[in-house]
Amino acid sequence: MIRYVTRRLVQMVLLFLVFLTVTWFLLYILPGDSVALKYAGNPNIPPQAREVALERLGLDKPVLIQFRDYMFNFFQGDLGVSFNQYPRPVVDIIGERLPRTLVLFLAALVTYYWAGFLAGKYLAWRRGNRGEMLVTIGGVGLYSMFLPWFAFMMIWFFSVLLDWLPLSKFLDPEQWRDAPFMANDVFLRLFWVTLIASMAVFVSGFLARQTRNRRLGRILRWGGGALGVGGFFFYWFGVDSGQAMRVYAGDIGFHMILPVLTLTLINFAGVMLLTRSSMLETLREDYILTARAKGLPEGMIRDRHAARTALLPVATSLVLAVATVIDGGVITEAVFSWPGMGEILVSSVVSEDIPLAVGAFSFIGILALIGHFVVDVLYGVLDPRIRVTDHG
Amino acid sequence: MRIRTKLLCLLAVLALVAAACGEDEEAPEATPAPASETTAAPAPETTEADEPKEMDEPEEMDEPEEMDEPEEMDEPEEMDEPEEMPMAATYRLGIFSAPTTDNPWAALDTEAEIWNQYVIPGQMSLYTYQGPTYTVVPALASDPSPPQVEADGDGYSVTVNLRSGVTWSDGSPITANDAAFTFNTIKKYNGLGGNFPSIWPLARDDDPATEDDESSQGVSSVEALDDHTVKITFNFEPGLAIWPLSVGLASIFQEAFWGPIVDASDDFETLYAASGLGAPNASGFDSAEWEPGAFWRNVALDSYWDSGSQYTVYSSGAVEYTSGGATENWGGDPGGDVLADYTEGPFISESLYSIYTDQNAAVLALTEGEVDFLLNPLGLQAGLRNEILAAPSLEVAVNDQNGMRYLAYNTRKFPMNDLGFRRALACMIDKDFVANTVLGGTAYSINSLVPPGNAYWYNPDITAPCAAQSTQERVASSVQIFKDAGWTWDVEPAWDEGNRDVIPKGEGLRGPNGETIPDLTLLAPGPGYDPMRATYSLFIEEWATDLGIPLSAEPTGFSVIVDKVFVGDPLLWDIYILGWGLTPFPDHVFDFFRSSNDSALGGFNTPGYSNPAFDALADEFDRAKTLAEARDLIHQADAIIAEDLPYVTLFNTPLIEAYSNQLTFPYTTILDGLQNVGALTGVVTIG
Repeated sequence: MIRYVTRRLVQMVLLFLVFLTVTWFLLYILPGDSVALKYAGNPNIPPQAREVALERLGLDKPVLIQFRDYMFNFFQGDLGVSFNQYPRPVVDIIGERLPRTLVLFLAALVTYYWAGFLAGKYLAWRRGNRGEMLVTIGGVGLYSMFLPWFAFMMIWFFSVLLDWLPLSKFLDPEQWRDAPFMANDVFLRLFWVTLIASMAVFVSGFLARQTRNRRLGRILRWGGGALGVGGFFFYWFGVDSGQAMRVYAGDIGFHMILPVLTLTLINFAGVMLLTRSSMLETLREDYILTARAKGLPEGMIRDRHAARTALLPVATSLVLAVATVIDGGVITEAVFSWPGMGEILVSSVVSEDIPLAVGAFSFIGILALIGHFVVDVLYGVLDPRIRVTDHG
Repeated sequence: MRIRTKLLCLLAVLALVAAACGEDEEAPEATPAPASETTAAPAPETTEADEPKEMDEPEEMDEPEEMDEPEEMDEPEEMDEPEEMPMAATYRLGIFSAPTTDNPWAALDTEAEIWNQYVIPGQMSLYTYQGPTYTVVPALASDPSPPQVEADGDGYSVTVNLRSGVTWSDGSPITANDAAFTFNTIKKYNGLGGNFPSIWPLARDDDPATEDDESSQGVSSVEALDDHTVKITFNFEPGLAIWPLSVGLASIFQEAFWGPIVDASDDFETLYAASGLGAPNASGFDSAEWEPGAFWRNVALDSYWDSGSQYTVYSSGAVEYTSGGATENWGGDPGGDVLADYTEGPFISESLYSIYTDQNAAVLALTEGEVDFLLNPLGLQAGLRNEILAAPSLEVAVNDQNGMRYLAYNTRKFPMNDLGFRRALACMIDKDFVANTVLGGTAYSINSLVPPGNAYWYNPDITAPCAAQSTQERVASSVQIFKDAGWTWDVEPAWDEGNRDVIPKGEGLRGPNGETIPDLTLLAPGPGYDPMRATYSLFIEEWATDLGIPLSAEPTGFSVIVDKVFVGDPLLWDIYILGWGLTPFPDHVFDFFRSSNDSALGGFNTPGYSNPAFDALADEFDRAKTLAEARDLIHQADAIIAEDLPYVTLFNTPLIEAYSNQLTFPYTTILDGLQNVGALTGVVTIG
């Protein structure tokens, strides 16, 4: 296993180098010129100023030298400065956008995977009834919706007609007037607190499944759940730093409801259908028949025997999806006025801001590679039939 | 799913909602700052967008008087009883993209995005444009009209007297030292990022490589003779375009705040990396808060030096200014209708700019009362106009846009170097048909290089080639133009009345020397970027085909067109369509066509147009000292271009803006809309 992991890690590094090189050159050969674009609006700028700008940005050097310099700096942690927001470092810009993208899209991802898995499991279990047809048609109908239109319908319904939820944006400026925190601090705090609480619930649940002692398992499950959720609420309501931030975190959470709901409604059907087909296959397995023959309760057969195996492709898909969370969604970000990584990716490519574009893509690349690596390892953990050997 | 998990999820959501809605003892209260007394109308930013915008029916503006004659100060008049000021309130504005910097230097230079300029409070300048007529009026200068440049040793200089009592937002006086500091900073950093030399051209007397070059002409020095007198020295005799309409309008920064930062570093990156939040400025507001990606907030000053001053703007362009009991007339004697009559504010406690990255979401926010005004250099889509008009709480302002969409020929190449070819194709372009019928009246055709909305400079005598002709007549006229220029066909195009089409279409078109035309490409932005120009290009392709010109329209990315025509090999393109956003002073008429500005030399004369008579006019324009003289030259130049057709101006669109009916502006009719004067935060009243 160690050899396997080591080999995969080496492969990841090499693959990342290739990815970075291809991305850089693809962006470089894009037709257009960022400096020309920048100065195209002002005929009074002397040509010398343009030359100086090219020199300042290093664009006067031969392409291979530019590439060499970029790679050299990249691996020293210097992703360069943005051409369009000169002299702002790329890392700063990504650091500003990443937290809000991560929080929104991770929340949406977890929600629609959870909803999709749940719905898929029940659909497979109750195959053939009217509900199945209804949920399938509904889900697939939502799945095929045109996102911008559907998002506007959601905004119109929940924000204009019912006036329950905010129209857009990730915070209410009136509420944040003179706030003692920047939104990014709150996003990061939300992220870490939620992550730690989720980890507590996940680990306790995992341990509960490993134990054969039902009493201990119940204690672990409930105790871990209570610890995670209780800890989450205790932080926001009982700890000074959490209390100070609570209103702002709550405001962000409130603004997240509509985009998360929209993304969930649009996307859950994909996961639902994946789970359903996977579960249907599992239900035909002999060991399910055996479990039934043993007289095990239906819920146990469904949740512990069938769903666990059916989870495998869903988990794979989830981990890979996590890797793409970082690029956000241009349309979602635009409609809900949530400027994040998606907006950066598009605007930097359009304006030929190569350092910013490569920087943003490199984050996606790194996360995607890690995602694949996790999937490879997770397979072995989730499915005892899959074992990594020295030959594999 | 476990009930436990469901319950917890529900609890989590409820907790978030409760937390968001609940009062927090530690949360600061949203108390509006007390209303201050005043602000000057923010100086209109003369940003030049590379994209075209939209416009309305041109409105006539009377001509401003010549600016070079100082006006007499009127006797102080008795002040009227102070009017009751409206209650202070938050002015909520929606912007469509997030500001990227809070540094006012960077916002004018490497990050010269309109969104930054909307939110960052304005700096001081010697003179400024006064809305809604764009008359040049004093800001820091005390002379009602910009003083004349005079010979001074080897060069030329102008000495400007400054007003006393003009203060930065921190209360300290703005002095001549600040002007000198600003210029010296730009000089120290060799023009900084690139934009500053276009405003403050730097003299390069000491550079032998450019000694005799036009590019070496500029400002040699800016000296503070005393606190209230500044002397600007040029190494050449500048015309209006440089003094006062560039240097005179340039931003001046406070030495006390920025000086230590400049002194501490030899690279301008350090200066640009410094935060400008709360930095002294010359408007009635202080930048108070910036939440990247979400909002920006400026708070009104308690004491603004120009607060309470009275401005009356006449259709003649004249401005009557009353402050401290004294009245001055700027831009000529008052005459014509009163276009605006107002007292300087600010009458709001703060301006709060929220970011909406989608126009539809922003309009929803406006109709729902979440914001009072939507700031966008392109205005709102025409399709949203009816939706806005249907909302009882909203008003719409439709203004002319100072811009144009145009077609450019590459006059360096055959057949575009043939005047007959250019005229014949231009004759076929039925601008009114496209604007009124195809584009459904959402655009209007223009013929001159200065759009009709810029009334003082507009030349109404310029007509489109083959104007008012039917398609049949256009075909006949184009054929005749070709023939007169010595062109021939194998099959001559003709109008078939029965089919209402050109049948047969032209085939085997040959130039005056028998040359065949190579396949030509018309580069135009694709429908995703600008459906209007994309549509236009298809019609031009069709009309060209009718004449036998092998022209194909090619939807092309904006950046690709810019790269090809401004930077790339000037022989690698044929014809393109793009647009310009323009400045009130239309020096672009010369900048775009003088031969020394050929794009091959790094300039903006993309067609490679070269005409000694035009160049002579351009040189004369450079030396022009009065607006009337400059206007006459602009009119002549415009007429030459309309005759020689390196550009064919196509159309313009109105700029539509929407705002809450709770707002009261002193005027809403202004070239380029209220967005061009920052939505008048300094004088707007709410409620």
